Amino acid sequence: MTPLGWIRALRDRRRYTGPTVDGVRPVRAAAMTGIGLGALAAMYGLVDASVLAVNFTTTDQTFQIYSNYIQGVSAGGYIAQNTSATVVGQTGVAEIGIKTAKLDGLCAIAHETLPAVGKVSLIIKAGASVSASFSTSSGTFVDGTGALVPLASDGTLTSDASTIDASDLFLNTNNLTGYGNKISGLNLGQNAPDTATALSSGAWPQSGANAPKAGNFGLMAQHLNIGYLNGSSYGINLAGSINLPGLRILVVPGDATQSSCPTSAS
Amino acid sequence: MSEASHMTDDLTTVEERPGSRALRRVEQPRRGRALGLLAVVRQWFRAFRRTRPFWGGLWTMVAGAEIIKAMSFDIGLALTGGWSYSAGYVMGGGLILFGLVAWFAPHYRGLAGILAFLVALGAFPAANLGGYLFGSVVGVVGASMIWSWGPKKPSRRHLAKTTSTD
Repeated sequence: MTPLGWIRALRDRRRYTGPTVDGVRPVRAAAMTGIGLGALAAMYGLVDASVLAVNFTTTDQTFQIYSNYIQGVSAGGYIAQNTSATVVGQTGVAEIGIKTAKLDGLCAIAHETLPAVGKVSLIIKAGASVSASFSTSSGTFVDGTGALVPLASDGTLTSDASTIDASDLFLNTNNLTGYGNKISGLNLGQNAPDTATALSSGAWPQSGANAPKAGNFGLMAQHLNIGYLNGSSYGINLAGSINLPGLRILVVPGDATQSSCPTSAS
Repeated sequence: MSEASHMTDDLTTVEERPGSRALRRVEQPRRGRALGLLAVVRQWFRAFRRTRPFWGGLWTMVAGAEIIKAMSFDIGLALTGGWSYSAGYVMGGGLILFGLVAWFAPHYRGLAGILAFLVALGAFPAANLGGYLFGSVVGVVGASMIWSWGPKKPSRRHLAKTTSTD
């Protein structure tokens, strides 16, 4: 008998001809689930290795964002009213757009209350480990491991494997603190619609805020380097290209704070 | 008219003190009717559940709802803001649609399962890491359950049960 004949005989012997019921066939379900979870793990690995760029856009959820250092080239911003659907009572936010940005570590924390589970915190981290607390009184910046943030003498961030590169990064924030390490070409009081010239697209995306209105306050900067960035954001738009080396997504019970950023690092 | 039927039809003629024997006698048939209705609904639901990939469809819809929730923008913004803002509605809505297909058109479960599987995977790069991973993982599990649903050899327990009732 040929090998094909053996396989056919085996198949026929295993073929079930008795009564049947409808339901989930476990072997098939497990095989397909395994393939799917494997594909997800592979994509996770590609994002982790900065090969696959992802779309990450939020508007309605408040995030707390922490970064050891953000270096922005060609930035613009304006004041607008938040028109987010679920944020009630929120009046003013600053829309900030950066044409090209480099970040040393990113830690975003969102809180959510789930039925039956209670309060949980979602922590998204990428790049270098973010420091557990920020002291903005001096011009030296360290990451979560205690190592100095790699800065050149002119205040620019030296790229390494863990540097996050983003283009057309948009933030929608109502509270932002940090240490302005190097800011140049600053133009405060710019007519709000004109600030769009700082962006590579030449137009503001409607990221949950009203479009800039003529006569509203706007600002533009050629270089915007901020150390120890701590911002409360209603929206992040990373729709351009972004790499997230060392991506980690964690869900922890309770209210996570900045101190969770380095401790839960890989 | 007999006393029993009189009391059943006209509540106002009996003493309505809570716990009174007369009222309990009146309530008995009503409770019986309610339990009967509940039994019919349960029977219908059981038949509905057993004749289609119910749980797979449910998980797929939960995954879709989670992806939409993770990217819940104002609908006007989603329509005008481009793919960044509409991706959640498209991917999450797709999963809900395939879950509904599994429920109400189970004949197409093979196609619906495969398409839901692909949408759940596609949501990872497209829609906030697939609803913070939860949506993609639950979507993959639900889609696999839809695709793999069909006639199978009954378990020994099931066979024993059917033999004993016959």
